[in-house]
Amino acid sequence: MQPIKLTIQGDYYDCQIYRGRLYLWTFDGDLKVYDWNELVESLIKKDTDKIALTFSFQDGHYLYKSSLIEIFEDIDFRNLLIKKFKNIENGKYHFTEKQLEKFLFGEQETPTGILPTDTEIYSNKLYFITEKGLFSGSAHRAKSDKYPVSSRPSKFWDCNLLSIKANKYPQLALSGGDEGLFELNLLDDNLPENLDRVENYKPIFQISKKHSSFSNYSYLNIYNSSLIDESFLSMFKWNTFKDRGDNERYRRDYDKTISAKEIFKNNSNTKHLSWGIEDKIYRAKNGGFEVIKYINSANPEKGEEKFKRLHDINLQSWKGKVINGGTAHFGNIIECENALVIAQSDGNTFTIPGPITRWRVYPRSLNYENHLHVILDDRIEIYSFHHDYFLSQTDKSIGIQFQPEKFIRRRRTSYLDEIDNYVGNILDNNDLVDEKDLPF
Amino acid sequence: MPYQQDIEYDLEDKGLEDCRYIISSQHRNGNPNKSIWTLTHDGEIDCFVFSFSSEWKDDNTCWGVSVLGQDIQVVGHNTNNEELKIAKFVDANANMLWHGYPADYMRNSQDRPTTNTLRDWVRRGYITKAKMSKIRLGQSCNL
Repeated sequence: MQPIKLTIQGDYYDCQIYRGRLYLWTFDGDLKVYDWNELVESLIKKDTDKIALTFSFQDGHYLYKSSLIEIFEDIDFRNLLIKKFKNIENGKYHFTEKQLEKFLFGEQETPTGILPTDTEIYSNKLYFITEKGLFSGSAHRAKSDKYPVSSRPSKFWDCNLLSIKANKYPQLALSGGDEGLFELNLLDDNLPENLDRVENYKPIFQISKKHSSFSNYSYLNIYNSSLIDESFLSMFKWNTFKDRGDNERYRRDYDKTISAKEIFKNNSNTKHLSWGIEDKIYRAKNGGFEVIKYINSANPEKGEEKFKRLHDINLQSWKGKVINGGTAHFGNIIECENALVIAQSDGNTFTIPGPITRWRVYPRSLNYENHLHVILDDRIEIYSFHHDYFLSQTDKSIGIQFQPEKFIRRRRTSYLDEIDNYVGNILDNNDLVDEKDLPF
Repeated sequence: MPYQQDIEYDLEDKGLEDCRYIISSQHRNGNPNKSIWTLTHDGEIDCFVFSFSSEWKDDNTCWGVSVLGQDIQVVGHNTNNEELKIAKFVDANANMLWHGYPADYMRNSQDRPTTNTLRDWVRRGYITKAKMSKIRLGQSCNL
């Protein structure tokens, strides 16, 4: 199954997508925010394409629902949905800058006037770094506000960082190159007690002094990737303590560091880039990459293996040296000097030729976890992957294993939410629709 | 008269008033602990003059490249003998006395040129937008 591609012409430098809005930084230093839902809805020319386009670009989460897994075991239903995706695979979804204007929500000069080195949006706040430091400002603002993002961001720290990555919990991993790995912890209390703060009263803690190019969260932990030095996993654990009211509370404390050498148990590819996120850790090698499954719940004291080696993945083509790596639910993204290689979770691969200015995936997102955004010289290409919905999440060796959150409070973000009950009622009554189109 | 190391030179004849430059021996003569220039003394000073005149400056730091046509040239190498193509100049005491060295942007996060300087290099065609992004992210790119 091929991803579906949407192209927007323009000279861009960075992008984010969050709660129905697409954020595009232009090379000239503007930040333009677009109504993503309206833009996607404008693509729908036929009613029969609505479901596929909605799942592809607006609600990547919906098809992971555990209630649908049983439906997918019905081969007719599965094939019908696959056919719907195939029908739109070759669609020409393309916008010029002029055509994009009608979806503009707001625009402004990029906050601080300096194009950001890296950005994250978390809990309605835009976090970004420039050579002047780490900043944050409100995002996802009302239409009545003058600017879609605060034009007067607060400065957290003046370190010249390389990259930032937000967790599902209120922490941001900060990669400082030769300065080391840090974490901004936004909790009000229960801050770690066994880590050094970079400055008094600032909630920024030094995790390691070893080189950090970029990092990702793996459950409570941080996997640090370095293009200069060896990569490693900084592990955290829950410690209990009694608060003033004698109530038992939990605090996330630093535990220890495990090197990539220890995780992979061999030295043969130590000079190759390694990266990890959630349940998978990867290390590039000549012609492919090694894969480790990180089993967070394993208890070594009971002889359970925390790091389980899966089979290596071999790839046909490498476009120069590996300089960056990432992982989403739909597969691995391997950036080489001249191209982006996507190793999909279904075993297929495809290559996006460079030069690549920037790429992003959104595994933390509740709507866009199936997106890959790639900024090229004169356009941004937004890819939507849908093959992963039809795979066994526990058996796949590439890509993050999807695990449903037990308790999610979400606003209605899918047009299908309101008809969930309708489908549920149909299944309960064993009244499956035996027609050519979907029952909704 | 050829330039010599560790001597202050007034750059008024190069068009830079009230500006002095010193060719530091720390970044010459095979010092194993520092990045080393491979440009000649004249080349180093020309690189600084080009950088300063082009206003690739941020506070007391200037960023430079040595350009031939549209191609940027090697200016030195790091302690691992890897080629470097970006120069960093500093006015350490804010008194208009400058010195410089080849910058290893991958190993030293402070050796990354500012975004505005890099953007100007893109607009002049010295580097691509993609390479600008990689330099800011501390990633490898073939300059």
